[in-house]
Amino acid sequence: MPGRLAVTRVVCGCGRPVSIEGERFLCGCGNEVGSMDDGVAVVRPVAPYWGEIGQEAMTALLAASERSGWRQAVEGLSPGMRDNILNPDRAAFQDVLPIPDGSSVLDVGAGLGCIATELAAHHEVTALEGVRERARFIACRKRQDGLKNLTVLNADLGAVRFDQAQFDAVVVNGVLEWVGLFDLAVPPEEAQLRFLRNLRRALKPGGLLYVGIENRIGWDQIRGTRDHSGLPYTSLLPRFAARWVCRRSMGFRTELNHGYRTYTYSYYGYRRLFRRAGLEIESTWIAPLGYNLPTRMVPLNKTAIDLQSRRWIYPPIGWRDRVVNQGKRWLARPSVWRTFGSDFTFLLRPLDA
Amino acid sequence: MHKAILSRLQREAAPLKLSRFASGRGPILAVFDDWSGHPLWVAKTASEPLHAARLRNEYDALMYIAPWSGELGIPRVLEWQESCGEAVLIQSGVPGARGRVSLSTNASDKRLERHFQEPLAWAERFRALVPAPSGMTVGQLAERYVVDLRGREFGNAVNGLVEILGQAGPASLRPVVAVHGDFNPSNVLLKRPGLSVVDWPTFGPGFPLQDAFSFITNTDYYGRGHVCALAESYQHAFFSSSRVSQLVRLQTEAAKCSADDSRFLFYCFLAAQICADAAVPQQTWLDILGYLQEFGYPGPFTPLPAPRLDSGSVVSHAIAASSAHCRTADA
Repeated sequence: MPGRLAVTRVVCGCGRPVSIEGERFLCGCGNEVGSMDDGVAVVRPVAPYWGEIGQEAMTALLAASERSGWRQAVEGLSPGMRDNILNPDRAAFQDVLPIPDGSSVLDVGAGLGCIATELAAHHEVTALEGVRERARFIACRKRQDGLKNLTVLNADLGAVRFDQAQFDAVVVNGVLEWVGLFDLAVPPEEAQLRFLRNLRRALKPGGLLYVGIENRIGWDQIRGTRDHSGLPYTSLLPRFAARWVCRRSMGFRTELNHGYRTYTYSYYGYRRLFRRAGLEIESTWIAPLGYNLPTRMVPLNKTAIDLQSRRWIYPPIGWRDRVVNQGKRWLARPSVWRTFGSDFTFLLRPLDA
Repeated sequence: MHKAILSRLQREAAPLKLSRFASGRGPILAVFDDWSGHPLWVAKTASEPLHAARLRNEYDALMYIAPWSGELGIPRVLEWQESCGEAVLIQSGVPGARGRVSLSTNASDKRLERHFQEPLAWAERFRALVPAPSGMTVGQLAERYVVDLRGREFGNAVNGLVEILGQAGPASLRPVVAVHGDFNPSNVLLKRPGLSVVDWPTFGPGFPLQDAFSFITNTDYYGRGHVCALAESYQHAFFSSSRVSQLVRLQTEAAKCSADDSRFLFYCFLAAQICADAAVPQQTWLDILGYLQEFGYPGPFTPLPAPRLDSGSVVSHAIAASSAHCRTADA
């Protein structure tokens, strides 16, 4: 591993690259794009608070982390939240990322740093997080765990522009669907395209982009799992109908989701979106346990799907089990998984690479 | 990605599909040929010393049995790296698909034959072809089990078992044989013709019939609206007049075992399972030992009543625990 960390570079409003190092990040044009604040590189503007826990609880968590260590502080959280912060398996996808140790990796939407800190054990990682408090929590983890390979960057995910060719890999896990909310002035798809093009630019030649996201018409969605709008089935509806429903609903997250802007797509929809952003799908996996727990990643290959499906064949102690098992066997084919698999993980490469 | 896996991946010319499987002992990556769907190679990694040691066992085993790998459908070692408590083992992919892991207690003869015939024939062929990795006798192996059992905080519950293992007899004087050690339907991939056998970290010296007993008892039996617990599976396979029990009898007869030999080998098998399977709760084994003790530690083929399933029975606990274990392991 190199002795010195590669410096992340963002682009100033004037178009010049600015290195994220030192106490203040000054552009050649005289503009200060940001500064270092308590171990966090802040590039303005930053996003307003959003998180799985309320802002007050987050502030209290930060204070407790500084006081008694972050590991002890998270003990008081709910099991789901603890898992979200602690579970190293959330970064299990790194086993299939074809990059050597010591690569430079950008984790976009790092949250509370679970994935970024795991990746930092092998790579030079820049954790990009929009929310100030969450970025500070990652910095706290970095400091207390002595992670020298981690840079914490606090900037608006929709606004920050990265200089070209600086990362071997970019990880976008559970972020792309929210991008439509970063810029309400343009259609969600347009915002997603801009976001992907910005990340594509930041890739070194031969670099790759990892995306974890739900399938718009996945089995979980058909079964009625809540969509990002906070309501079930909205991803399955035509966009205009989803917008109409969301405007008239009071469900969780709908207030944030102005109309319906958290677009997900089917496999072919993603392929089209990625192509328009200048990216090509190199590998696709279905994550049966969800992209947030990618311990099993099943490629769209008959043998691999068959091996995975047979894990779910239980002893047929009744006729219902027989029917279900028969169904599972019949459905173990790439076309079905491609269409109805609930969570996709993609490995993308720039088209011109 | 581990550099050994990465460099091998970069050397492959054909379009590939990489698959990640979860395992309690580190991830398993399997690489499939995108055109044919065949597994090309499988990489197992371990990042903890304990798991690395297990992987080392598997590497040693695959190297030892390499001369017979083609004939017996066993993976070959392609690459091995170990440093600072971390290890990676890359082995060739073997053809085949996972067969049934469960069987009805009322399964027809045809179904039984289809389930057991080839794996048991394979176990016999393996025993005949591969020389034992040690010059011990079965009695000396049993002494090892005794030491292991005494260190496991079973208390007095294992006294009966220990006493049987200490008895000298013709079976204890037999030389040990090479065994897979975890021969069960999940580790057997069926192909036509023949089969492939994977997952070799438990390879080592064992006693005749160990793999056959293991395959028979590690099948999930179901019947009368429920999946059999471990205690019920043991009763079904060894202490009933079922077809499976008859099959076990045929196996022991083929191995020229007397009734006393069969008894000794059965309790050797039980001890080996207790010593090997850390995933099964200790209480499950205690309940099975209690069940056998109740009937004076009989030899196999002595018909015993089925373990009681009422809520007050100790066996019901074993059944619940082992059913939960099966479901958890499968999930």
